[in-house]
Amino acid sequence: MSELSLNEVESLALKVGRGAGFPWGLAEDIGRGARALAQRGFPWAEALVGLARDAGIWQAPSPQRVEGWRERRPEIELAAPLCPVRAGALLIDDPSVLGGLPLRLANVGLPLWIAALLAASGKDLDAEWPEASIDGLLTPAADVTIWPRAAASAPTSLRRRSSADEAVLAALGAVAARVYVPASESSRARGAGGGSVDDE
Amino acid sequence: MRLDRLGASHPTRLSFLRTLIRRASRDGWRVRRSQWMMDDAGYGCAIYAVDTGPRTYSLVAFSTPLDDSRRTDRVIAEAWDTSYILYDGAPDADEVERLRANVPLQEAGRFRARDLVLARANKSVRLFDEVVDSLASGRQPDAGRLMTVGYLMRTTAVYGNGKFGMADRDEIVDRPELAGPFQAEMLIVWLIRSFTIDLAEHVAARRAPARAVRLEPALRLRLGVGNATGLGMAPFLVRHPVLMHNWFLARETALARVRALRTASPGAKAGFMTVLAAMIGNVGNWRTADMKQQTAIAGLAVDLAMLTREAPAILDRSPLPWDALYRFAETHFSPEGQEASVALLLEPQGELVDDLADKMSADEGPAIRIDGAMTCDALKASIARDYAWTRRYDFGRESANARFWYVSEEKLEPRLGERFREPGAEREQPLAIARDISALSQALEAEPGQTTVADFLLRRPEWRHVVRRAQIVAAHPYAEIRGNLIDAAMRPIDLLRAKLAFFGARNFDPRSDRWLRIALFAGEPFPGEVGA
Repeated sequence: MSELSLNEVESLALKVGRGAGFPWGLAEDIGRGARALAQRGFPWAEALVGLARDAGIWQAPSPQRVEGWRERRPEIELAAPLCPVRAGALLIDDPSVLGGLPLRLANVGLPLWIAALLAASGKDLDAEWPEASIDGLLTPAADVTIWPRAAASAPTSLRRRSSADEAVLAALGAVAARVYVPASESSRARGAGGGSVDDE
Repeated sequence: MRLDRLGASHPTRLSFLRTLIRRASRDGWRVRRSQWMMDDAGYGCAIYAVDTGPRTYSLVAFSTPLDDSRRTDRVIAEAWDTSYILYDGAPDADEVERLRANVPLQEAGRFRARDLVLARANKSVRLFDEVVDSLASGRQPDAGRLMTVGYLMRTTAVYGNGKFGMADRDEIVDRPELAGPFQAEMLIVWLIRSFTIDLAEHVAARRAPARAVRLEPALRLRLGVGNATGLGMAPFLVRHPVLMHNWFLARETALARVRALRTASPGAKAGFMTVLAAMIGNVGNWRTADMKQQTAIAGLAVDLAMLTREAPAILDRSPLPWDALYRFAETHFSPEGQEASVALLLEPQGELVDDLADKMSADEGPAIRIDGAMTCDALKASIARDYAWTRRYDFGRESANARFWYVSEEKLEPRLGERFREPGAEREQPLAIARDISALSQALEAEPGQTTVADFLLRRPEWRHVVRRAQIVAAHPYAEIRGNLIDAAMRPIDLLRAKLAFFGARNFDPRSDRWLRIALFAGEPFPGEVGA
C-alpha cells in the first residue's frame, strides 16, 4: 500500500476522470468526489478503476428521463446503467429535481460515484442502495434512492491521509497519463532554465 | 488585471514574506541551529529549529557534491547542490535518516504528513566560491559583486500542499502561526537564506581556521535567496480564481484606504520619502539582460526621480494628499512606475493596511458549486458584464489561438505548446479562458433565455468548467486575468511576475518570455534576529 495526501487523490482522480473521457468540468467533480471518498475511508482508488472501466457503457441522463424524475414517473429500466457522474452533477447543480422528496433512480452505474459527488458538494443529499451496507460499495450497478437530508449531519471525523494499493495506482496512472503530452524539443529548450548557461 | 499590468507588479508590504516577517517579529519566534554536521567541503546535514510559540518547525538541509555539468536551473534537473524540507516539529534520528534518503531525490522521493514543504537550491557557483575565497583569506567580498547577483544560492522549485505525499495545506490552514497564503513556503526560503550564508562561512572557516572572517552584517543583509521560476507556476493564478481575487482585493482595498486619508502626517511624509530613496537604491542594483525589462527599469528610474522632486509639494498642498500622489503617478508614469508607486504609498501605512493580510487566504470550496437554478439569460448577462474584454480577440485568427497549455509527460509540469506546429493540442489543459468564454457565449445564444444552467449542462456537459468559472467571476471581480493566455504575443513571465510580487520577490530578471530569476528576502532581517 502507498500512503497518499488528499491532494494527490484529488489530482489523480481529476486526470483519471479526464483520461476516461469526461469533460473537464465533470473531471473536476470526480476529483473532489474522490477526495470526499478518501476522507470517509471509502475505496476511492478501486472506484476510479471502475469508473475508467465502465464510463464508456454508461448512459447520460436524457432530458426526457430527468423530466420523469421531476414528475415522479416510475423509472423504466434501461439496458445501459445510468452514468453516476452525470446524474450526480445534475442533482448537485439543481436539487429542485427532488422537490424535497426521495427519488429512486433505476440501474445506476457504480453508485458510489453518486454518493461521492453528493458528499463533495456539501448539499444535504444522501444516496442509498441495497447492497451498499453489505459489501456492495463497489457494485457495478444498482437501483439508488436519493434522500434529501433534513439537517446537515456533519460527517464524523474526516481522514486527512489515504492509502491505495500500488497495482491499482499503477493502473490509474496509465489512465491519467492520457492527459499528458510528450514534451517537444522546442518546449524543452524554451522552458525554465533553458536556452542559457547557468553562469552565475 | 491585464497581462501587461500584471507584468509590472511590485512587491508591497502585504506580500507574503513581509507578512511572515511581521508575524515572526510580533510573536517573538526563536531560531536555533540545532544540528550542523558538515565536512570541510560543506557537505552534510544541518537542522534549524524555529520555535513559533504554539509549534516548532524545522528546516532540514542536505548539501551534497554536484558535478558542474549537472547543475541546471531547469525543472528537469535530477540533482542539486542542496535540498531541503520544512518539517512539522523536530525530527528524531530515524526521521532524519528517512529524510536523507528522500529529500535529495526531490520529485523522485516520497514524503509523509509531517513534511510540509520541499525545496532545492543550486549555488551561484562563481559568487559562492568568490565569497568563500574572500572570507577564507580574511577579507570581505566585493560589495558590488554581491549586490549585482544578490544571493549565494538559487532555489529551482519549492513544493507544498500535498505534493509527493507531503502534508496537504488543510493540515496547516488553521494554524495561526502559518495563517495566510504560502507562509510555510516563505518560511522555508527564509531559513534557506540563513543556511546559504552559514555554509559559505563554514567552508571558509574550515579552509583557513586562523584567518577566516565572517561576512559583515551589512553585506549579509544584502543577500537574499535567488529563485528561477518558469511555466510551472503560471497556471496557478488561473486555477485559483477566488484566491487571486482575494490577493488583489486586499491590495486594492489597502490602496483605497490610503488614498482616502484626508491628510499626510509629517511622519508618514518622511516615511514615504525614506522608502522612495531606498527603492531608488534598489532600482540602481536591478540587473537584467532582457532588453524590454532594461527599458522598463530605465523608465522606472526616471519616474522615481520625478516623484522625488514632486512628492513633497503634492503631499503638502492637497486635501487628499495620497490620492493626489497616486493620480500624479497614474498621469505621468510608466506602468512600472505606477505599480512601484502603489507599493510606496502602502509602505508607510502599516497600521492602516496590515490587517488586510489576514484576508488573503481563500476557502475555494463554496465557490466551485454551480448554481444550476440560474437562467441562461442571467448567465449571458453576467458574461457580457464580466467578459466584455474577451471581445478584443478574434479566435478565428491563428495568432489568437497560437498556443496551448499542456502537462508534460516527462516531468508532469505545465508547458506551453505551439498549436499549429507541435502535436498534443487535443490534450490541452482548460486554461484558454478567453477563447472558452467566447465559445460558451455562442453556445448560449442557441438556448432559450429561461432555460436553467442545470438543464443546459445536462445536455452540454463540455461547458461545465466554463460555466463554473463565469459564476465564480460574477461574484469575484478580481478573479480573472484579462488577457488571452493562448495568444501568440502572450508573455508567460507577466503571469509569473504577478504571483512572485505577491510572494515579495524583487529584481525580476526575465531570461526569456517563459522564465525569470528573482531574489527573495534580500535586505530583510534574518529569522534569528526578528524575535530576539
